[in-house]
Formats: sequence, structure tokens, C-alpha cells
Amino acid sequence: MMNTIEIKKYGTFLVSRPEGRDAALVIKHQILPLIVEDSIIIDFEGVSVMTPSWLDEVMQEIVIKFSKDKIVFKNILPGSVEESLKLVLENL
Amino acid sequence: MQGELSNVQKRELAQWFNDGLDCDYIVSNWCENRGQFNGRLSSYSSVLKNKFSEPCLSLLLASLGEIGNNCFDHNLGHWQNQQPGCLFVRGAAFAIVADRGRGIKKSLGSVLVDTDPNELLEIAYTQIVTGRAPEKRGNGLKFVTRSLKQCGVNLETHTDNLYFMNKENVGLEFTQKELNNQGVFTYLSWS
Repeated sequence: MMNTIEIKKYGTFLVSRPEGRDAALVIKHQILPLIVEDSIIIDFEGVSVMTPSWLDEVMQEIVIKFSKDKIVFKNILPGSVEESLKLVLENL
Repeated sequence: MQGELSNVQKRELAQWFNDGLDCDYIVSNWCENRGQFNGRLSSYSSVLKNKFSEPCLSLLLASLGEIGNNCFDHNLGHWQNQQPGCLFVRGAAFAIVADRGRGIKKSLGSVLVDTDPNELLEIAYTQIVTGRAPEKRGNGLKFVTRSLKQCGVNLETHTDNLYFMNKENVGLEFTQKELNNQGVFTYLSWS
């Protein structure tokens, strides 16, 4: 799917905020401009550890282009992916 | 890896935290930058994987990552004794992440100027606030509190004569008198 962001392409152990910022900049400049659909899928398959700091950096960029109701999250495993996502979405 | 700290190690940790005194134990657990910290954190998972379910292993590693993030996010250019970095001790049943930076009273106090400084540590762990305003951030320690509670991991944090703990019916591993510095010292333990 052209409108899917596979998070594992940025790593599977996603901890530091600067690394999240790096991923966010790639997504902002190289991925989002290519998406023509009005919705986006974010796929967490394969991600073992993720912090809210990492995810927050990425989501801050995505919600500039897509409202929260146009974002679909896939493969949210219980653990740090699920809890980080919950916390970041609460505060976006 | 050891299951608990020896008295000698506890003393060495306190001497480093309070007065910046180095020794082999501190040097061998030192992370000068985020890359070193993340590398040590990533390899820690092989030690812990038989002790925790997959979700809890993921939450514990992410929590340690968030605590380590804070060491670097809030202290760049503010280290005491020009000693950049943080301490990361990895045990079989405990972990320590600590820095001799400017501490929560200074980082968060610069944003929450009307708040009682003695409440800042608890606020950092229980509310969404940021010590880096106007940036919209500050989920990290709230995530740590939630995650560790789910997985039965004990936490105690000391900073600037304050402490926060998430455990009931368990004493502090370090007393306030033992750890007396403005930096942040966090001790996690599990059975």
C-alpha cells in the first residue's frame, strides 16, 4: 500500500528522541509528500521496543498532514508499542 | 550479572553521585553518550528475557530508555564536574540509571515556576508536563510509572533531597541521607 508507513524500516528498538526526530524528518520530507490518499496506515509489525519520546517525534509530523481519524494503526503488540501509542495519542 | 548490590558497590555509587568520585565500578558502567546507553540497553534484553513476559520486557526496556533519554535531554551542557553522560548499571534483578546533571528541581522548576519545588518530582512522574517548554513534550516519566506498575517493577528516584517511589510495603534501597545531590538517581528492582 502506498499510504503505509512501516515503522520497522526505521528500526525495531526505537528509544531515543533524536532518532525519532531523524525518522520524523525522513517521513516529513520523503514519505508524506508522496501519499495521495486521504488516509494513512502506520504499521508497527516487528517493532519490539518503542518509547513515547521516539513515537511523539514521528506523530507530531504525521498529524500535521492527517487528522487523527484518518490514521489507521496496525500490528500494535501489547507492551511498549501499545502503551506508547496510547500515551502519545492522548496528548496530541 | 548480580542479583543485588553489595554494600561496597552501594557506597561507591553514593560517593560518585554525591561527590563525583570515580572508581572502576563507575567507569565500567558509564555511558558518555546516547549511543553507548542505547547499545547497553539493547543488549540487556538477552539477560532479562527469561524473567519477564514479552510485553513486560518491552515495557521495562522502554522505561529504562525513557529514563536514560532524560539524562541526556535535560543535562547537555549542565553536567557537574564536566563529566558528560550517565551511569547505567545492569543487574539480574535491578537496574540503575543516574546522572550528575542539573536535576528535576532545576529543569522542571524553570517551567513550573509557581509550583512548590518539593512537589516537582512527583509531578514529573504523574502528570504530563515538560521541562523543555515551549516544546510540546513530557510523556516519558508518566509512561515509566504506568509501565512499571503493570509489570510489578519497583522504582525509586532520588533528586535534590526529594524521592519518589512506586512501591508499598517495601523500604528504600537508598536513604535520602545516602544520596544527596541535585542529579537524578533511579533504582529499579524486581523479583
